[in-house]
Amino acid sequence: MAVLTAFTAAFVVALGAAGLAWLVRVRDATWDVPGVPWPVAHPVLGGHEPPTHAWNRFHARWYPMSLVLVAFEMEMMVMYPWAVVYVEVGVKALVEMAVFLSLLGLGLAYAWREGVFTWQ
Amino acid sequence: MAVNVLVVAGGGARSAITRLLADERVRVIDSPRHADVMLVVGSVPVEFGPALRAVHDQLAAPRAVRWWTASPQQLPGIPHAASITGADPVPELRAALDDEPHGVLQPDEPPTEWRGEGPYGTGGEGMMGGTPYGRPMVMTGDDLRDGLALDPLSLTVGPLLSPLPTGLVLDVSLQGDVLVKVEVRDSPFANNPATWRGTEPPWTDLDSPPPLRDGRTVDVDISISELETWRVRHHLGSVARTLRLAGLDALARRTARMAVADPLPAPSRIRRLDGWLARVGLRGLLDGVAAIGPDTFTDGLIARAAGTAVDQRIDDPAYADLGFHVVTHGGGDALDRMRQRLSEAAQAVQLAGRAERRATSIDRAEGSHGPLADHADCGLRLLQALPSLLLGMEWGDAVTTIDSLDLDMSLMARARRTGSGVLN
Repeated sequence: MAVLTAFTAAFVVALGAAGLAWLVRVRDATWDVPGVPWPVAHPVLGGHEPPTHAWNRFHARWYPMSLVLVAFEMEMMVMYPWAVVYVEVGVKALVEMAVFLSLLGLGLAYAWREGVFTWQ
Repeated sequence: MAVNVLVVAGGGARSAITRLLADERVRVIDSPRHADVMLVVGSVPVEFGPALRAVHDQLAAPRAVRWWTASPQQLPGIPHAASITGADPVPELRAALDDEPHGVLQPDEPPTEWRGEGPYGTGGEGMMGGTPYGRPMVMTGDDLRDGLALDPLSLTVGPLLSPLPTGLVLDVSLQGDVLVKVEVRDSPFANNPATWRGTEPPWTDLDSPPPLRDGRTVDVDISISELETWRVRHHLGSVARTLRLAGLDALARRTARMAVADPLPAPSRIRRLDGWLARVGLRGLLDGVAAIGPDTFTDGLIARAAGTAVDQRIDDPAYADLGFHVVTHGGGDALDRMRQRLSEAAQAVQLAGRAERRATSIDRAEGSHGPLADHADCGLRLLQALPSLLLGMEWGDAVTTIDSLDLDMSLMARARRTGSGVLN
């Protein structure tokens, strides 16, 4: 009985969310807005039509992203236990964390200069 | 209120467009969707018809088009375009906002039917099979930068894409923002200029240097004062155009006003602008973009901006009298070319002031890109080098590069016609 109520509740919530999403949907100029002619919807290229769609894939370039992840994930790993003991240990812990962060900041600076953070 | 004008530069349009840039009642913009009116300036080849129709359909209502030409005719491709023949187009441009709305000129059909291959129309290549929404999907291709094979977007960037020179057609392939393939197609201006429709607008004084304008032959002398005056106005007009591309509209307007000012602006004003650029540098936009080394081009302004001291005027005794010395900049990037134009303009003002009755001949005169007699060839060489220059650049940098080369496709076509490099 409880399962049935839970199931119904979940179903109703899902339907509600879907309905809300449908209400706020993005309207495509070509298909949803009536009366937009095809030549108006063409992308502005200065006289020619594009031969294909522009739905092309971009590679996330996992390797530099993995390196950045390793650098900052390990920093997070240290900060969790540090946060627990920080109050008892006091200023010494603060100084140690500042040193650690500055070393990691060097890594960040290197990644920045290598252009890892530019979107291309 | 400024009128938003999308400008299409036909033959002989340079002077008129510089005057538009100088006018505070007009805002020259790059996108048809933002435009109040599309203004076609100068003579137009019939081959522009389809491209004009395509851009016309993308204009905002009421899709007003005006043609600024001295001889009224029907614009190729757009039957409802009215002609403007006077020296001041702005009142008629403002009136164009009240035009009756015009419909689209191209057929209102999807590019191809939405149907793939096979009995149910669901087959074919690509992620979704067939041609969804009328076009096929992009297929994979190699990337320049590393060994990945993802989807390069192929486009033909047409003759009327605004920041690029009118008439330049490029087949490009983009991986994201990066150009991985560039080819220059034949320009619609390439056919016989005698078949172009219409004539230049009422202003043509900045367009071609004196000998090319009046149809003189190679044996006649050119007045140095006229040549250097033309040089000042030409280079200041280029700088104004680049500043507008950079988004500095007010500065572009001031520079365009200097370009059309009569008498010529004082060299100190031009140098002040040059100094400001040297300090500010427009970093990220111009600085460090498109460095063209001294061995890529060995002629003219581009070589001088790369540090090579090559100039037709060095050996000319008439110029030696006037105290001419070659100006160069190191580096050869887009900022250096802009500063080179400003320095040469400042120097040209002084030369024009001192020249009095001195004259030079066509084979010894220096034009805007190189020796005046080789004007067409310099332009063609620039076009041939474009693919190797632009490959691997991001799109924004590519547009900056093309703008910094100061190409004029219609002038190149007219100069090429006579074979000797000189307009008829």
